[in-house]
Amino acid sequence: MDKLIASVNLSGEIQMVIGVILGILLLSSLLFWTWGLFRSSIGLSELKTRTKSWWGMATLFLLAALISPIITYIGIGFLSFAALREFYSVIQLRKSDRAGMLWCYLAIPIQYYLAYMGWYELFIIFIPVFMFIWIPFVLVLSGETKMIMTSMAGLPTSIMLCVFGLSHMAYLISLPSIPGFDPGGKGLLLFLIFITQMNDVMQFIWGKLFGKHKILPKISPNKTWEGFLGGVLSSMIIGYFMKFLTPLEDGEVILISFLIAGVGFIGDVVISAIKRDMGVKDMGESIPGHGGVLDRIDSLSMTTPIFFHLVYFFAY
Amino acid sequence: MRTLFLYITFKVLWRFFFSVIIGVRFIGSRKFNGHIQFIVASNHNSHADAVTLMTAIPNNKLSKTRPVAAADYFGRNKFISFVSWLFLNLVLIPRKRAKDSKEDDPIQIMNNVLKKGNSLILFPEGSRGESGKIQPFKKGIGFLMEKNREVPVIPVYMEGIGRVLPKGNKIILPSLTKIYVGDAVYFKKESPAEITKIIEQKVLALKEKSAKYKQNFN
Repeated sequence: MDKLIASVNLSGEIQMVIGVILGILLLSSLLFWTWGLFRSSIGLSELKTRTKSWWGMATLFLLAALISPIITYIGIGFLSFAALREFYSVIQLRKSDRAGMLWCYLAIPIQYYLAYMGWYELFIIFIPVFMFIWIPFVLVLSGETKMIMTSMAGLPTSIMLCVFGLSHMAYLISLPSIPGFDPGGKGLLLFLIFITQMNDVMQFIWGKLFGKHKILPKISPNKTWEGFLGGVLSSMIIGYFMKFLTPLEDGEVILISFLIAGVGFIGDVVISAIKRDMGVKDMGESIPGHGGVLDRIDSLSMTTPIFFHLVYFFAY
Repeated sequence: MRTLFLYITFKVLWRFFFSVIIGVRFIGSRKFNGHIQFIVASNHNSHADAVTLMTAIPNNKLSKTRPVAAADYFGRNKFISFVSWLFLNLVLIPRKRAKDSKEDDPIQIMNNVLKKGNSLILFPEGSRGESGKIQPFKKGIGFLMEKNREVPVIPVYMEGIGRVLPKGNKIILPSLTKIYVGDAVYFKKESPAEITKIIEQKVLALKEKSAKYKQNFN
């Protein structure tokens, strides 16, 4: 028990960011509430539901990320599990793929245990190398070759998206500490999630305010160039001011924020395209106003590994 | 003692397993409350069906609620039938029986259980079907209700549980599942055939409701 709560000593930087997050939530709740006094519409009540869900998600995340590292590993692991479960509930697979799916689920505890141990070399190849070999073999063992190509592609992709990418969040906590850099892995994790989610929100706001020219009308009809570029720009500015959460230089932080925004967009539209193909609007319905877990973390599944490897390259 | 045991089994262990790991959500599970006795009539896709439904039964009714299952499977030998009584509270009925023998008449067995004040969980399709398809209901439930008109029937539709443990497969996998519970139905003068028909329609109506729910999201 001592080990569980011993580490609730947060650096000043992290405390400040928690304050900022709660401030933003409080401000938007207040804004929508007063707005509702004058004019209420369906769009507004949707915004209110979303903000309520943001409160829930922020609370859960902050508790999981800050109380103890062990809870952080388990929490992010469960996030991977919930995402993978949604993925399999939506995509069409064959009955003979079930053994393969079971192995994909089993990859979650293994991958997160590797992150917990900090065994970097194995962590980084376990899914792209070992599971990439093992899953098709398990599918072959089922003996059913009709449509096996789809499953051979779909199952490894599912764990790359839901497990491999997201598990880098857990590895951030396992990174060795850098002398003179107080926030540590927690700070990096906070930076990544804050920028990725703010980028989603900013793209949404810019798109709503100025959106005219659609980027990918066939896949995501609400996405516009104005929203995308506004989001990228806002993320770079926010990233610059959040620099104190990272051990990076000015230029590096701006580059990383730029890439988080761009790659976040890619993650978003890739998941959107899968949803289009399967004929569903959302992957699930566990987060009111947002859809499923996978709808919320679609950008994170791709920004996480990019962020991790850039920070690893620049600072370690 | 038995109630406590069943409470821990269903409300703690199985409930945690089904809601957190498998991803089962009940819609309208409050409709199980407030009846002295009831019969749950549900579609049937997997061996996990009865256990899942038991997790939503009100605590004070747990020991008095008994899922009905096939004797040729769950009563294969004494050990399995003991385990299925201990953990699942099952009532076993034969699917095939010797002609004209009064003793193993499935309706009679279920009727006796009802007369003792128990509730039943029934799968009127008779056997597990493909996920998303409902087979025609067997008439047995009509004959049973004819003799127990004071007992209400609660229709249930389970969507997606066939992906948790499909027929002919041994691997249990998580899959988001929604269970729709309908309003209780009482029967007064209907004939057994009509009763069966009405219950079938109620379950199909819940299925339609689930399909509409999905469409709203598209």
